[in-house]
Amino acid sequence: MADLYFEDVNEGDEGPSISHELTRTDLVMYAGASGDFNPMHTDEVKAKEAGLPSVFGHGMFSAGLLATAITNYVGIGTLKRYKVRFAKQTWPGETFITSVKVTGKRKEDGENLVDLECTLTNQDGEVKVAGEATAALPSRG
Amino acid sequence: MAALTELKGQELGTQRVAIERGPVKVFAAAVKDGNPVYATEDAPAPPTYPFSWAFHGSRGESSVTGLPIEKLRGKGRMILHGEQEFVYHRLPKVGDVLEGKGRVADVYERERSNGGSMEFYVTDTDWTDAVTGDPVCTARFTLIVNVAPPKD
Repeated sequence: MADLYFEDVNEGDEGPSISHELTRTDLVMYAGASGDFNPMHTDEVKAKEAGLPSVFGHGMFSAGLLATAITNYVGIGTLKRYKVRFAKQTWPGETFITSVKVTGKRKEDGENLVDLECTLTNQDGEVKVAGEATAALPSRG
Repeated sequence: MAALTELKGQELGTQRVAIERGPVKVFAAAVKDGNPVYATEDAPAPPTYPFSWAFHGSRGESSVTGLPIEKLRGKGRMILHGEQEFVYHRLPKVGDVLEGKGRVADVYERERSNGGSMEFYVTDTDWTDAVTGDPVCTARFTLIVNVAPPKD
């Protein structure tokens, strides 16, 4: 993907969205990659014994998927800051939709900073992860 | 039970991690990032990898204690990962050896309109380059205890 330059970004711009249906395989992969083996994320039998309808997703999986959407837009290695709040549990079968929007741009200490509002919702618009990020972009100048 | 404000300022120990090629590639795949840069010799760490890199990368002895979770558990007390933040000072890469130093940055409590409360336990881990000492990344973890209202 071509580099995103500071001059080409405007408040209100949106990055490309990711749409992804959460599967149990995603959760098993994320458990193995992250080391979070809480059985509520990977063991359907134990999750049901605990009174849950099924396993539920790792919050950090959703945060990671949202980060993928962010770097797809601003480029890998440009992030200065990324913050997320976990609003709701996630469930296999839900389809996640990411949104990455430019809320402002500024120059600070010689860096070209772009502020982003990023959210991950399900197919019904329910917010699962609400976040914000700041990226330092290259300049054409 | 009120929030354990005495934890504020407590040091949570240090640990050392190595950022390795295989685990970075697998982590990127797990968060659905197919960018080929994550499969290279000097791949960068994906943005949320600092939360998990000790799992594969832990090296040597760790003195990390973490929050006293057992003390936070109890009836009507639901423990949640409420927020997570990363501040990046430089891009962590495969080949880096990093040192992480943790501390409890803040503890506070908010009343809820239903008569219950929420306790917030904020811990910061400052990751530095183990060779140069330069700051690499700060990971801020906020654990929330959702306390149910007392029953009449």
